[in-house]
Amino acid sequence: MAQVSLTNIVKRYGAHVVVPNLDLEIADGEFVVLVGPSGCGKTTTLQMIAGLESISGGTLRIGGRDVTHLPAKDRDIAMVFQSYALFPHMTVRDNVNFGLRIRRTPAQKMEHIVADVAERLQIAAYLDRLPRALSGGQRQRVALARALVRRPGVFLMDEPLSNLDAKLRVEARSFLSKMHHELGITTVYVTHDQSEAMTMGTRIVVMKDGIIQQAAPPLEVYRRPANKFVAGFIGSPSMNFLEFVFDGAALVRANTAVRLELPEAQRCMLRAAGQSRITLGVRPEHLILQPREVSESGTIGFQIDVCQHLGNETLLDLAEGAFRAIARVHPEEDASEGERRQFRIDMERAHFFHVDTGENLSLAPQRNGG
Amino acid sequence: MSELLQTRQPSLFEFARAHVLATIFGVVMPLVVFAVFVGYPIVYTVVLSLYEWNGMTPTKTFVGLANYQYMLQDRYFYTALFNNLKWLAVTLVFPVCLGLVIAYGLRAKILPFPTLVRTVIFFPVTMSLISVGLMFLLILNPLFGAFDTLLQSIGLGGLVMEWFGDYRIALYTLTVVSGWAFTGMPMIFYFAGLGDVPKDTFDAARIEGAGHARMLIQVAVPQLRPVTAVVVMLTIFESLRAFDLIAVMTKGAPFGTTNVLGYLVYLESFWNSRFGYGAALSVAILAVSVGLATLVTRTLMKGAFDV
Ligand SMILES: Nc1ncnc2c1ncn2[C@@H]1O[C@H](COP(=O)(O)OP(=O)(O)OP(=O)(O)O)[C@@H](O)[C@H]1O
Ligand SMILES: [Mg+2]
Repeated sequence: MAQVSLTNIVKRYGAHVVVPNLDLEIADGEFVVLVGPSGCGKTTTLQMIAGLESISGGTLRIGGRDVTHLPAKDRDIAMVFQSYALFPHMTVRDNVNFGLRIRRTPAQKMEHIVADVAERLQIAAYLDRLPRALSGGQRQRVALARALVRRPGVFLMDEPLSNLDAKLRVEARSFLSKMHHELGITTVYVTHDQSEAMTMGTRIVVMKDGIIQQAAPPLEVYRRPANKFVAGFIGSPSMNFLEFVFDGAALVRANTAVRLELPEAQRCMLRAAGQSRITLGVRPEHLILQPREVSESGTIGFQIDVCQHLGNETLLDLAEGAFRAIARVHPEEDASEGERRQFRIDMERAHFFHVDTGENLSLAPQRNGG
Repeated sequence: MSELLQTRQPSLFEFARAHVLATIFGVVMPLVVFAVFVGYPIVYTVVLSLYEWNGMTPTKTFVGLANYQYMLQDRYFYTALFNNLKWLAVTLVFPVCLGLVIAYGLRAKILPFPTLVRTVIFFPVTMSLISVGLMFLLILNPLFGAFDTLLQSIGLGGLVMEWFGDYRIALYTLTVVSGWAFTGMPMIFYFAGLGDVPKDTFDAARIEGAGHARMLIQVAVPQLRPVTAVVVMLTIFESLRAFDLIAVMTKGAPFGTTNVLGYLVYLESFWNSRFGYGAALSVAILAVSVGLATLVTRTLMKGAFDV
């Protein structure tokens, strides 16, 4: 059991800065998920924690100890790799007890630990096989077992599920969550799959270009994204962004009749922010299809390009001039492709972003004026 | 049935008819070259080993297996054969293991000046063994050689030996010199091979607490088996072919104790004018090579490629 604390962590490759300055406190027993687009520095950060990459600046503490310059083996961590990184020439048993053998664990005790973990991960039947005689899911569990037998203070996982097929991935996801509940080992988990992040993490850390955009519990990140990037990254399908002008009372668009009235609270907030041009962020489920006979006031019209029937819901691909949007509607909703329909925006749940900086205006410190 | 016919591989002749140029340049010509420069000499050597011939007269005398009978009683043959095997053993231990360790050190980035190290180690591979031999004759010269002087100057004068004069040492002196020139070969092979071993397996081992020695022996070596098979094969051929160094450095002296088969072939053929017997010795080299190569393919190579 251990907490992990990164203070002013920097990673440079020559002159190329990958992680400029990273601060993150991970409490004991937390399941933190690092998410972000490809190349944003998730793996680099994880490898710095693991000790596989050197740290160019700052301090890393694990369990209160400064481990910035300690070798990987002295950091009390274990890691699961995307490729599983099993030793192809060793049996499952030898793979799993590799670390125990290095630590000269007595044979009997080792046997006991391995049997226990193998039982838990349902690989007991394959202990004498070679990894190449296992399926992807089984290999993944062997990799997990190898990390688990040493009871590390911190678990590090780099996209451990991305080589599994969709069905196995969902299974493994709940499996990992369950294991985390039972053992309570601090876990840092890297993924670029936002649904993994939402379902597994007790906290999500959204990164971009080596900079943390937001670190908060999953629902908080979903409901109160710190900026447009986070808002667009978390949630599937992603949030719709529509540019509007705020005329002091309502949202309007130049040369159109569109006029969206705002609730009082949001009007105040936008006045305080002092922005006339804003980006409105609306999640697909907050774009509400109106009955055909409803008048156009307070709504916005879209052409329905494609209906994606998923069974439990229907996604509508919408277009209006340069605007593109996606709406999520009830599967029994009567909408057909090619049709032009009116949509109401659930303004209470909409987000307002600064056009240039992308910051979430409703979270920004309130300014005087307006 | 018709489906079966469609998915059938085209036969060799169908293929040849459809790709005339490719067949001529890609298959026929290489085979011809191989037959002329490799196949014919082998066959001729085997035939020659059944004759007695002094290399000059136009007539050869057919003697059947007499040359082989003589060989089996020839003291020099056995000395040379065992010297070849000792040569092989030393080469497998010293340059091959050293090359592996250096390659690992380069890959793991624990050696300083990697490019320099790589160049310096590989350079002798490109040198002719004749010049290597001449160079080491000077370095190891008992009167003015740099090596003895060096040993004395660092207080290890007690280790100075008669590198070529002592019959117990001379052969090993030769193998070490040959190893010095050979190390770059396994190094390059292992360096390339290590590039194909998944980096993750090293990372995983490191996190589990493995040091470099364990990573080399338990993680790298087992995954390098295909490379090892190739390297061992090369080493076998290199050791059985040894000739140049002996010709330049010892000429089999003292008392024939540094003879190897390759040098014996030369002695018997060109000095004793017994080309038939020389050919028989060559066939013996071939037989030993084939035997050892088969052993390697049966053991090291077996299953090495189906990971
Ligand atoms: N050895 C290196 N030398 C130089 N730049 C590197 C090196 N390793 C990684 N980088 C750079 O660091 C950045 C972050 O890489 P990293 O592997 O951490 O991304 P990631 O977030 O894990 O992406 P992915 O989701 O694709 O795995 C990338 O822009 C990459 O090009
Ligand atoms: Mg990555």
